[in-house]
Amino acid sequence: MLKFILMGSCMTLFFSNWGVAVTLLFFMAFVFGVGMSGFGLGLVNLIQVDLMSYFLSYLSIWILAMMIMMSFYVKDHKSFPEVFLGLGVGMLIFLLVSFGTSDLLMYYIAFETTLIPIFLLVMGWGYQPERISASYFLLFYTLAASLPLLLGILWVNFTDCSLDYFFLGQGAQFSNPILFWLMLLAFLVKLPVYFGHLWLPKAHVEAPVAGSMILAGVLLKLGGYGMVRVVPYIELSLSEFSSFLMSVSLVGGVTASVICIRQTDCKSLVAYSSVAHMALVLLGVVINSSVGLAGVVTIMISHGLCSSGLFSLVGMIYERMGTRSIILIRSLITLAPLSTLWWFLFAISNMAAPPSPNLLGEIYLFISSIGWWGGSSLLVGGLSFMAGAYNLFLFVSTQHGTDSFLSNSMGDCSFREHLVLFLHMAPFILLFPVLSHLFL
Amino acid sequence: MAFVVRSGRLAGPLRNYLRPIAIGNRCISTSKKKDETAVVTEKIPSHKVTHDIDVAAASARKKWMTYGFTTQDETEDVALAHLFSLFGITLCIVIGSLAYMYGPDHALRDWSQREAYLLVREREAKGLPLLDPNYVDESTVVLPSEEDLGAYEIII
Repeated sequence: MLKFILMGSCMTLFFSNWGVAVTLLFFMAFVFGVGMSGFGLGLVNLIQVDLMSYFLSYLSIWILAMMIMMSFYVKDHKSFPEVFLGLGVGMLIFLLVSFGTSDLLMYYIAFETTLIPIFLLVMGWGYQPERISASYFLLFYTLAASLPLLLGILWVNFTDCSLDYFFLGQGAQFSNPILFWLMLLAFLVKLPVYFGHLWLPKAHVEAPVAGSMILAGVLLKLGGYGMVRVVPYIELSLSEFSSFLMSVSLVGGVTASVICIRQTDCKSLVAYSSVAHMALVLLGVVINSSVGLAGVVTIMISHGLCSSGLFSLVGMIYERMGTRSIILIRSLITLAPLSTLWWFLFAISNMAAPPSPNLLGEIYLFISSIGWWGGSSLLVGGLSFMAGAYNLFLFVSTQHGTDSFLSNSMGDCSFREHLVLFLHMAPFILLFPVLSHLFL
Repeated sequence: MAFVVRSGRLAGPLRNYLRPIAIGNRCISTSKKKDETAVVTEKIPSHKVTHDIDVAAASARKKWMTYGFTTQDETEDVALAHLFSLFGITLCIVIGSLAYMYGPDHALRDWSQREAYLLVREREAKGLPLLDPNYVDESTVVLPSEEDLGAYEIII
């Protein structure tokens, strides 16, 4: 595992040459995926604690490669491309540390450290002047919510003398509601769930394409991953607060989906769809059943790839048309028909159509939530229906329609863009049988 | 007054109407010009290129279709396209899928299924229950006698 951290830090030597950096990332992903069998648990050795860490680490390497490939315009038109690449690789190193560590305090340190690159990416390479306030929103929401997490970790350290994930499950002998909220609040804001979600649409709209991709693809999953790691310790208080958290998740998810349909900015629409998907993740974590946790992992991986792909598509439109407004972007099926294929595939995957693993994750989570309370079928059904509605709205608004006056400088997808989108879609479809083995 | 100014503007278009009359003055004869006195003196420039061509300038002039990676240098663009396709698709997706499908039995999944079938066959042949409620054989368990226990309370 350490070899990957070192490989990532050696990539700092290649900041001027983007081609070599991306090549190394692909090679790293290959070795990570294939060259580690025979080490025992979860395809890799004892630094990687289990299958979920492995999947999320793989996802972060892959999304970083995609993000750099998508951002070649930064090299030509924007300033400080070496710093851009450096921030991306630095973020990867800390993400690998956070997903690969078995110590809760180390996880916290890496969790906080990943905030700095995304803050600088949004602030430095974003598009509008509103990016300043958006990056502050991102930073302060997450920091304010995660300070209680630090206090909770120190509390656990002093009462139990160990912060290792293995021992956290053994120490749950008492239920303490204060500790419950201390530990969980940071992850609720990071996921984000409905009441702590305000930073997400702002940050996504103002971020550059690469920033949005890594934010939606991996950084939101830090919240879900942290929750799954911490829940064994606070399990006894979970039943006390489960009805509250479940209602926040269910009703918040439906509300976020309804708000989603009303968005006029494409990026804001995809950002709110992330809120709705992550509400499902909270659902699975709170229910704490095997099916629920399998659904959580599946939704995290598949949402990472799908959302990242959607942000790439919106970024391509923004580069060409200079606008992200749903009202102005239309008739892409006549202007760029090859991109319509990708728009269609990502839109239907986002609405959990087969054969995407989003469907698998939603089915697992529906099973677990209906098992918890039958009436939740109305709310998760509503969430799924609204997901279909806003994805259909996004696709039909952007692709269909009569010709628009913005079509003068519109070109179809270049080879690079096709490659990025293919590399999002192919693992997505190929992962379906792999993810279905989670809950054997 | 206005008429004077406005009719002045007719002069331009009027010339276009008058032009057909002038066409008759144009010589369209293709026979050799016997009375031509002008002589062409300057040399016709040769089309052979004698100086070194700058590669980038040549490719810019050649109007190559970019792969999308860079618009400045064709060589770099083609190289990046080939590199990323090789490493991204061939290496990671194709060979990665191959390794996953044909790799060794990860997490002993196939072994456990085979072992389960073998054990079921074995137990059915011996007439034993498929899943014994006791983890260990009851005859091997040695319980302490009443004197050893004394007043120790046993809660089940």
